[in-house]
Amino acid sequence: MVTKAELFLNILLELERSNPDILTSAIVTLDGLTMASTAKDTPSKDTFAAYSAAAYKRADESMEELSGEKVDILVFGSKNHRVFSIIVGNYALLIALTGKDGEIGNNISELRKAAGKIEELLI
Amino acid sequence: MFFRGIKFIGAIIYIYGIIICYFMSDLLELYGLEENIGFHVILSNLFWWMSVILMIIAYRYRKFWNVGYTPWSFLFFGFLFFGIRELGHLCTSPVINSLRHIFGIWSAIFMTSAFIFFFIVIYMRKKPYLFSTYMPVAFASMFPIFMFYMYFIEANTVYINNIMNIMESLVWMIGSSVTIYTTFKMGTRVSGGFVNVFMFFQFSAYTAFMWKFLGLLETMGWPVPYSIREVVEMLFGIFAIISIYLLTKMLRKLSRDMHGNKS
Repeated sequence: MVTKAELFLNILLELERSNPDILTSAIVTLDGLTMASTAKDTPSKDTFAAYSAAAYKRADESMEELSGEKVDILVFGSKNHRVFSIIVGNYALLIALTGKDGEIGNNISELRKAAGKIEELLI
Repeated sequence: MFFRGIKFIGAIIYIYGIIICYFMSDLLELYGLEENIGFHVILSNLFWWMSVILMIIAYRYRKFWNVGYTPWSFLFFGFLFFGIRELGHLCTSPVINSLRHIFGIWSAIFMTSAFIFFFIVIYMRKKPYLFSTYMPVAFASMFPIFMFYMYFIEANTVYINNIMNIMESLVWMIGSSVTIYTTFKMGTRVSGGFVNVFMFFQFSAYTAFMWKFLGLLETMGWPVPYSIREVVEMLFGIFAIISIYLLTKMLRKLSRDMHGNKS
């Protein structure tokens, strides 16, 4: 018998193995609490979760205002990094910090597959 | 199962509280007991001890909101000391009242420190220095030393009580001002349920400031109706219990989601 926490972590580790461009990944609630994370440092793990959830929430509000729809995927980038946030069900987010080398389409495809597996576990 | 048990205990405490308050109000009319042993004292004790119970439940789930061990402990002690302070209302002795103010000061120091640590971790994204975790304890320990010093120099007990009362008012006013700032800033960095948690903590801080400000005015000789102060204090308790309830609810939901087994 394995706990959901272990299964979530396995999905994240598998995702990172399949795509070396992904540096860190996490599953967080929309409240910004960490469900699973591959980040090593505990405070940074929780800050990553809180800020990612807050960024998603703001983007979701903007999207709702502009198009009346919910945000499915949020991608934002800096000079060397990108952050991908994908909604999983109604309650959680899959977040990934990547480098700039990988293709965006490929990253999204990998993340969508992982999000599908996480959603199955959440039901 | 555990939470159902807590709800059951809460309901029993509430019902007993109402029965006690009913008889208390009769006693007040019959014997004209002092204003500080009344319905509001029972209610305030119920609110704060319920908050302490909720805080204990939230503390069990602290690993889900991993902001560090120290802020969690300080928040817990903030609630616990305020609960003890409220118990002190049941006695009219000036010595017990002075001790009550000490617990009030400790509660203010630990609650304020907890929010400063949350602010450092969440808003500033830094780790608090080790020595900064000892500072609130060192500051808090100065007040009982001062109180015992006053007893040793044989100061009047009523005078000591008044001094401790003024000190408590000042510490709460400064502490709640800091908490208003920290909770406001953290509210801009979090999302979902945490926005509500910090909002209600901020409301608590506003009412705590107002409650102690009115108390200080009264100590200085301004006529402030006792009932107004007590209503404000009651609001302080209600907002605190709501905020800690929201935090506990969020952590329990996550715990339920995380501890489900899949074979």
